[in-house]
Amino acid sequence: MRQNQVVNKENQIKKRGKGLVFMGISFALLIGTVVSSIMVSSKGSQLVFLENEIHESVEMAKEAKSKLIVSTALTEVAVKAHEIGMIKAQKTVYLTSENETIARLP
Amino acid sequence: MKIVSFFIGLCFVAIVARLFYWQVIKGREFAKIARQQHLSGNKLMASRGAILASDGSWLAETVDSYLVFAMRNELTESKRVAANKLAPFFVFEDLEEKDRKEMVLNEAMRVEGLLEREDAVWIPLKNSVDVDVKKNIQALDIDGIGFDLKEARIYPEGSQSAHILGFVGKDDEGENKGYFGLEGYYDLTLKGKEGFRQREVSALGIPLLGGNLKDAPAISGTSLVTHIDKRIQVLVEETLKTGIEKYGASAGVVIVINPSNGGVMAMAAYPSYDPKEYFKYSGEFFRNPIISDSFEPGSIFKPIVMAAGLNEGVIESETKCDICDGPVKIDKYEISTWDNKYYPDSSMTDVLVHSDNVGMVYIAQKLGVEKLSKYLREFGFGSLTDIDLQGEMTPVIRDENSMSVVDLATASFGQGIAVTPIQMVNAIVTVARDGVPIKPQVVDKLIAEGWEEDIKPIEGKRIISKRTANELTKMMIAAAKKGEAKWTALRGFSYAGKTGTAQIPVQGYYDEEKTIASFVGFAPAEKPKFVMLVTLREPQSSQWASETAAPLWFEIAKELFSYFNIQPED
Repeated sequence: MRQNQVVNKENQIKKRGKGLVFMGISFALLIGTVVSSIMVSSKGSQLVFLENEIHESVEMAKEAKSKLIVSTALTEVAVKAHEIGMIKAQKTVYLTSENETIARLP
Repeated sequence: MKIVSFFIGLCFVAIVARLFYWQVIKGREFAKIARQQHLSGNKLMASRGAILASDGSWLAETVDSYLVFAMRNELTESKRVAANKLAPFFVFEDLEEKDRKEMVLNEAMRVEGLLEREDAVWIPLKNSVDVDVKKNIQALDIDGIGFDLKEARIYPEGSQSAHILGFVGKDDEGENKGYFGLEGYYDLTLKGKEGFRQREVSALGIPLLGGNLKDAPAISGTSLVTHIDKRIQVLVEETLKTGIEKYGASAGVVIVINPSNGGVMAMAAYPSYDPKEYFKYSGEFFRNPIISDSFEPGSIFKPIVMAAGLNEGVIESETKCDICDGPVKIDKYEISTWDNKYYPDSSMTDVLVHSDNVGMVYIAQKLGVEKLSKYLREFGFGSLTDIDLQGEMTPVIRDENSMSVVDLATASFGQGIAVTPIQMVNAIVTVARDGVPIKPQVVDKLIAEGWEEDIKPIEGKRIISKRTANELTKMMIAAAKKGEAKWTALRGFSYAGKTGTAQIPVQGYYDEEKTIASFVGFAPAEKPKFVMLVTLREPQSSQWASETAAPLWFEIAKELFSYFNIQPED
């Protein structure tokens, strides 16, 4: 009788031990899941941040390009040049040399 | 205990019933909503390729633009105040102060009218707003005003090169589509392919790493690098416009081709249009007359017939014309010279110098219908040049069986035969290239990210011998320097050319008053850098090409000599 009681007690301790191990593993898994979820979420936020930065950079590049296109238009440049007083050459003068002139050493 | 058990059972049944409702009855609907919540998808826009000049500068490019809209239920300010704030940013035109004020007032009324609409929540207010205007409107911080990203095609040189470029409009489904010119011809090449990105996101819209990702990147359109030289194009456009005003012409065209590769360096036609605001013009403005309109070329056609005669050996440059002492009778018609002056025993060079119709009839009669027809076809008349621009057309020329002796005679001096300006200039390109034809091309290269493809020049089979081409060039030099346009010629330079004044056929008769004045030529005469055709329709100051088209040709040529660093010979 006493022997049976001891065996039961031992079984109960073994069961409790198994339960504790199971609970421990479950807890670790739970913690792991929460941590990985937080990490994935923060990485996702970082991704969004980086994508926004790329988008902004692309927008800035596009804006700069469209300004460059407009400001380098020949018709635009001609107007600006005229405004600052530049005048197109009216006549082309071609120089002629009657005799070839060659510098001579003394 | 029984009551508790019954209550628990009831709860269980209620839960099962609710789950049945969610999972089975509303299952599909909720699954769809859930998918929409955790799958974020968006279309990736593919920008249309650019059209570039030969130096890489822009002729056409796609930039971001915005549609300004209002969410009526989110507007907190009064509609009038919002409209008054927005209106000044919606007037883009460069106007006088008084006109601008009026435009802004009208715009404010228009916007207020739109905002008053009871039947709409989302109201589009203004399209094609650029990024600067968008920023200015954002700075006003008006609740309920938003922006939709769109694409806009810009043409930095405005209406310059409009007939080469064409424009981008909408197709039946509201998608962008190129029409006319390069935009039309290369529409599929320029158009990119839209992409798509779909991925799983959290409830906050943050992407889930490791979640499902479908990613098909957008492919941008291919860009075109053309042979167009912007400096020459601007020069040609401005000179043509001035020339048309000066000579009172109703229309005009200029085309400049590089004979070494057939590249079109400039092409201008007037009247023109602004491709950005194509919708303000009627359809007739969009046709490029250089490739779509035909005309009777008149005397500029004479070098082609002369080339045929020389190449067939029926004449030499010094052959004497034995019928040039007066008008010649063909069938019931009498053919005379343009100035009623006759030069007995003229050499063939003199025939070209004096632009002698009778002398040309002499050559045509020696050639005969069969040979003349053969050369006309070989020079490309009656068939498309296959230039890479949308809208090319060709008039039909008579075949040798239906060509009478009168047709043969009149064709020899460019009457009774129709050509397009591109066909005419391309025939002279063949002469400038010592007799070997080449296909005219506008685009030189296709470029995309990390890839480019050269479009090689396409040469045809030799039409006339090198000797014939050289002989004809000498005759054209004499025609340009000693002909009726000699007063306007540039002294000291080497060039070959021919004037042409053609009457315009109206209802079966030639109008005595209306003419088409042309000058075609190339320079330098040896190893030419450019071939150019100038045509003016119905010039009023004088009907003669020597007093209208020729001076315009030389005005442009003078600048080109300097630009190409062509020095005078003496």
